[in-house]
Amino acid sequence: MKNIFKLGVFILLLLVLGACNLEENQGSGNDSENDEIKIGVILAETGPASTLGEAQVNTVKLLQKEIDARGEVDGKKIKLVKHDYETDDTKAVIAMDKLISDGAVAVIGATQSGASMAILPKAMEQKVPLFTLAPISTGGEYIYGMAHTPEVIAMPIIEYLKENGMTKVGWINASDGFGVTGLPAFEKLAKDKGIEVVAHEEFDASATDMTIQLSKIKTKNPEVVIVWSRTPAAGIVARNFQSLGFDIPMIQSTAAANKGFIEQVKENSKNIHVLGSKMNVVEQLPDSDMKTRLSHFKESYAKMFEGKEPDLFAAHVYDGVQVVLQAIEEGHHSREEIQTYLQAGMGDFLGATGTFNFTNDQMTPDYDGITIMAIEDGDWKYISNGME
Amino acid sequence: MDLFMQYLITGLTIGSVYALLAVGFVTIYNVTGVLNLAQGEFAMLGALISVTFVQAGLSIYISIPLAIVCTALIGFLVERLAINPVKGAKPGILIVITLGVSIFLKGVALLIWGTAPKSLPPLFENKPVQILGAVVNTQSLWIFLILAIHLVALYWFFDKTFLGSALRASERNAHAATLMGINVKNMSAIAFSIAAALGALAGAMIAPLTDATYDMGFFIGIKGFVAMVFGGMHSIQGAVAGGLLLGMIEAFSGGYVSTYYTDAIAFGFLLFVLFIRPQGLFTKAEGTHV
Repeated sequence: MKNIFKLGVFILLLLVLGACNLEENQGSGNDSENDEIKIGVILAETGPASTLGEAQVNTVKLLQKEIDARGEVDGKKIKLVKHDYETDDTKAVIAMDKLISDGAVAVIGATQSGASMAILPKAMEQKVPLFTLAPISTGGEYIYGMAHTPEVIAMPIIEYLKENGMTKVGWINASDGFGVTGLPAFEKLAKDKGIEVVAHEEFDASATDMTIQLSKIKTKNPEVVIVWSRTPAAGIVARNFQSLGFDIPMIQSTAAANKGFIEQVKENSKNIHVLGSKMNVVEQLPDSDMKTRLSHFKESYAKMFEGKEPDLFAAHVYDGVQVVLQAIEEGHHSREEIQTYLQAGMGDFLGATGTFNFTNDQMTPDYDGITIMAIEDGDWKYISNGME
Repeated sequence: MDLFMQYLITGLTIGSVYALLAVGFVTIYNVTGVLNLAQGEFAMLGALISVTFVQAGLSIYISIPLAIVCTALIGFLVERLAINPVKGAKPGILIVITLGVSIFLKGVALLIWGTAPKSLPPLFENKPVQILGAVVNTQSLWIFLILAIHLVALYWFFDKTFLGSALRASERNAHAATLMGINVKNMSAIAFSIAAALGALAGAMIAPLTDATYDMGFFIGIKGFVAMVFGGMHSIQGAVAGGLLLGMIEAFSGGYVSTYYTDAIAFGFLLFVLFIRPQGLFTKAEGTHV
């Protein structure tokens, strides 16, 4: 008897919940008729990847505030619908399904490569433009990469080496997922320019000493040492490099372009260079459209979040949303219209991370948004890489 | 020749770090019979708490002792709150509990200190010096000195003092120790506090070389554990020798074979040791007294 009662209550609850859901759906249906356009965002707000996702979530808040202040875009209200996928690929796919059924015109996400790859087939199947925030290995129709591919990231290094007449490279990288992506991309580009990798060593990403690897590299007499690793290993390599008394430049990857790395090497940062976003050195850039755009982003972000600085991950979200906004502004209000516009009408788009041209390359911005920086007095110092 | 010396010195440097960790492992294991998987986290806490005190403006010579005291207190609390309530449980359960403690401490550290690496200034001006053509950081020399002090001080403590003997007695035979008037429960808490303090000292000593992050504990903890197994689980001297040996295997295999296979070779050697001499390289096999 009691059980039947329980079952009854349970069924009743289900019905009520179902009704709520139905109402909600109808509500959102009405909204879209009321000239609201939804842009989906899928981010790792919680879970291990939240260290990357935090600045991205902030950027969404900042953008929504800017959009609201601007009022209607081409007669439409715009709403950024943010979903937290909790660093769980499955939840990213669920969020993607929800956004698609809610009628989002485009989706920006996800924070990590793995989750981006997981939601990518949905975007292609349902024909929703998807702007991924992490490097992805394969693209496709409707897929746009906001993050730089390793090939593009390696370009400023090649420019730097050419400019300084260096041809012999000692390469050292961590043996993790990020560390091993650098060298193949670099070698592909370096071959044509007569640049040779004379020594290559690897280390465990959590190792505490890289003296052995660097000693071996030193015997090959390279003219420059390139490091592809995250912190803290990146900083330990730099420190061992100084202890061993190298007298050549060291170039570190974009993974070292953060305050933590500066903190690690500030005692002795001679000869150490880091590949980073121009956003790090925006104050030192010569005047340009990009400088205006970057300083606007950096300043409004700092104003809203008490002096915090946006990073490259935040910039990817910023760019993705701006691309969609521009499409809507030009009167393209549906998924298909936006896709056609990106493919045909948009031309060059100047983002915070570089120039995008989706007709040429859907996977990456150009390398004009990244630069080689030195470290001086515990802060980044801009070095022109010959592109201005 | 230059390279040989560099490999040797680097191997000893890395090995001394592992040895410092291994000493903490052995201390807890000898007294409580528990394999403390959170030992690496004690080192992490020691390093990060030192950094916090230094950033607050304290001198490094005050910060490190303070950090050691704080970590010892945390070690004490860990024992009281996590280990003591399940006293008498099987070793397997206790090990899983220490694993839980390790994950918990790492999580808390992530919340407090974030992911960015923090650096700690060295004890003295850190100009690398040349020894026979090889480069050595002065901090490594201090680590060696501390290691040597450990050996002497712990030998004296465990073999010559009453408290030390009481600690050892509680592991050998808890029941007999109780009959002799030793409070075994307190001994376990003392052992955890000492091991936490040793771990914290190790962390604070290696932080100037490796920097401190919330997740540094796992890697050095594993290496410290391997060093302890090399040395035969029970012996502090053996653990130190095991640590140095592990460091040298890594350095020479990296130098003369390939840096890709460093870990594979080191752990392969561990398996080899376990097959040939499961009682450890540096101890005599011993039976249990009946």
